[in-house]
Amino acid sequence: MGAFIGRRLLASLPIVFGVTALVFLILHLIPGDPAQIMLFGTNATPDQIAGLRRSLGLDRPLAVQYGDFVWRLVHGDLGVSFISQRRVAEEIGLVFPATATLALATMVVAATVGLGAGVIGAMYRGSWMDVAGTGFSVLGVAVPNFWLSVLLILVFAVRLGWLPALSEGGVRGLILPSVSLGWGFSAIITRLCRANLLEALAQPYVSTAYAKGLRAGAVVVRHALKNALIPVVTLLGLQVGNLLSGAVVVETIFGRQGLGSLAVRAIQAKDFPTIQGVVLVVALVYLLVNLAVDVAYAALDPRVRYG
Amino acid sequence: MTRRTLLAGALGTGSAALLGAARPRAAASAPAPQGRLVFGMWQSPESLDPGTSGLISSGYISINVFDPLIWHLPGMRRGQEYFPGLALRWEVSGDARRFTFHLRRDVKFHDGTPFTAEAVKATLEHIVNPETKSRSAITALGPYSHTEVTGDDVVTIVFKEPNGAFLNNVATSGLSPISPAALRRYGHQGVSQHPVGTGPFKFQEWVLGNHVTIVANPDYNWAPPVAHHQGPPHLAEITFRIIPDASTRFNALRTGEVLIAENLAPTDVQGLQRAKGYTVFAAPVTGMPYSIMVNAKRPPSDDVRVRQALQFATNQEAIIEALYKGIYEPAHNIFLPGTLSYDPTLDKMYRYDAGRAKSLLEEAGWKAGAGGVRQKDGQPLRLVFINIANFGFDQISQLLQAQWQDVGIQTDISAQSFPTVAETYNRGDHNLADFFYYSVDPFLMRALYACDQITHGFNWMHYCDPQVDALVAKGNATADPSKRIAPFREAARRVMEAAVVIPIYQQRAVFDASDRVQALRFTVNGFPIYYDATLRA
Repeated sequence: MGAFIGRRLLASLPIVFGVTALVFLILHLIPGDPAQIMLFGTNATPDQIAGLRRSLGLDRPLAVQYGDFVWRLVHGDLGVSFISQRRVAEEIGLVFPATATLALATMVVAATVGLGAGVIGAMYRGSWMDVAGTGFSVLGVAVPNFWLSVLLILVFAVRLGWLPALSEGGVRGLILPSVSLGWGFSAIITRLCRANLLEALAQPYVSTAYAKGLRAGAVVVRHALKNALIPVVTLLGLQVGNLLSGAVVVETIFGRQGLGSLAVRAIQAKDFPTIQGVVLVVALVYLLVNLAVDVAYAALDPRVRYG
Repeated sequence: MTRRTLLAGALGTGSAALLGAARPRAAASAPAPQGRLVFGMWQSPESLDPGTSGLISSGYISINVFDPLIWHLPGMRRGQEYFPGLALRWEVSGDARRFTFHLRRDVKFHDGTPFTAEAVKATLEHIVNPETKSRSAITALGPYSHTEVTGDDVVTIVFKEPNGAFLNNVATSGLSPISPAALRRYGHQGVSQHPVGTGPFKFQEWVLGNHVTIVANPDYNWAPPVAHHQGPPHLAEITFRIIPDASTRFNALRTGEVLIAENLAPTDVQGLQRAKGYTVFAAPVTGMPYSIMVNAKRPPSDDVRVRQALQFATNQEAIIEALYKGIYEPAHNIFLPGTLSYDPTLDKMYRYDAGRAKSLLEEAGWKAGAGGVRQKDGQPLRLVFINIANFGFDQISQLLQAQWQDVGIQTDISAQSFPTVAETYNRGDHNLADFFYYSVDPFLMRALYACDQITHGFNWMHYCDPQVDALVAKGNATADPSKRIAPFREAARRVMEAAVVIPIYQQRAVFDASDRVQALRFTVNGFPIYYDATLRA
């Protein structure tokens, strides 16, 4: 297992560098000079702009700039934000917990609702509960999270006054954003879980389990669901990317700090070091989560062995 | 992004403060500060150092944390516009190069160190230090040479060239003194996260991307003489909550999570004006109105008759009626009223008159053509209108398109995001561009109309008139307002005759608040001043 994880981490390195190289190139291809943007409205002379470009290191050839970025990265240095003049690693460190909390809460909402509705749908196939669950999941896939966010704020914050419109610290402030973001994911999980569980329930080993006299609940949870979960877990890993992009929108609507809002501000200002830092962190999170998913297979399916 | 956006932030070159009405001084013993006010603002500050930042969101905070040397408070007291701040008196040399300030001796910074002439010098040197990467403040400071300190309480700021705009600019938070001890302790970059001033509120915390909190300064006892009271502020704490989404700010105001919000959708503002329990503040600002810049180089708008025809074909009143009724007023001048040298007679130069527009186009050789679009030499009269995306001009440009269609002008509207659009405007690929500019002084004309600002500054009109440049320089060669007005007015007249700016509406700083918020004041640039404010229970 240790060797497997080590190999996977090594194999991730080229991906990380590929991502940074791509982002670096895209950033430099988009028109707009960060020095000019920073000095906008200051009546700066061309000399002042050139001076700022020099001090930001933007006057050097692209390859040198990228080489410098990689060299610093290898030494654990993400550079300094053009705009706030803070260390990028520090800025990311300050906002990352908020995004991680939102992502976790979203996953809890999505998994609880999704697995619950999926299992009920499969166990009571064709019942009103199944129809309701399917309807709920179709809506969840169809409704965009920014619209849902606004709707939930209007109903639960403005009309009923039960929950805050702004997402402050604490559980109450997390409910609306995590539901806004989690409903869509729960819908996908519901569909996948229900389909896979139905397939598993039709397998001979399920009949065997029933024949041994196990109760329905035990058969479903201990035998069928464990097998049905493998694709769901894969899906959860792959959804991390979507989750982070959804967080950009939801963080903005609920006035939360986070990686998403940091990225938006950085892109608007062409703050290269911050954009690169955020992209790098998102890529790393994505790789690590998917590695964790692969490791989780072994726990779910004894046939899977890593060595 | 809506009204006062990223660019607005970059353009806001400072503010002067408008504190209190002309009321007698309140009794000395004020009750202890109480109440927490939450302000929902759209943009995150990037720095809390007034010497660095160019953003309005930073200005909102620093005007309450830092005191200027002098206050610019027009309309507070008959016959007087400038009032003592950290300086009790000041003198200006005849050539507007030497500004001497006699400072108060009873002022302490939030870190407990005394305020002296050395603090003024340290602050200005901090601003001009390249390591600071100052944006707005370095412009507000102008052609700075050096600072002479004479004892603890006399300081002279010396300029390389005449700087008549300086008195207006020194009355903004951008040039307000910063604690020299804090500058030494945190460095030129570090003070952006540790702002230490002399203001009625002191910095408490900044949670990145979420909020900034300031709390009452219990030692404060140097408010300007026209404030409602003296001593510490009434409010105990103010939180500047960053809420990028306009509808979320609106909802948070309705749930009471914020008590004051900026930059809401015009329809929401109109709704709140009618609703019970809310106050809509619309503070006048100074500078240039929301306007369309007309490119004087690119055909067909290189012909002054075409530009003048556009002026006559524009119906500002109809635009206000459709979009901003009850919030903004139509604009017919390149200056906002309240800006020094604003000339109301220029408002009459162009008024909606489709007939005049048509005859000017005829005169310029543009004859009626197919599909209602005028033609000359087989070419249609077609203008390229490039908007700054999400900048509040999209609906305006569509209404203009329809108005100009009526006189036979075709307008092709597109939009580009900032900052890409700035490069497009610099190149001059447009006939029509969006613009507005907040400024405390008519010297803003230097940045907008000067020949040397074409292709890399804000002269997106690609308009060059050496006479305007000379008049603007003349207007800045003295600090005496009575001598400054005439040259700026003459320059404004020339710009308007050249018809390179189509003013659309007089923007205001609009804040929507719970009616619990009382006695709110505003700087001349529309920044809320919380010193006198209270919260009704």
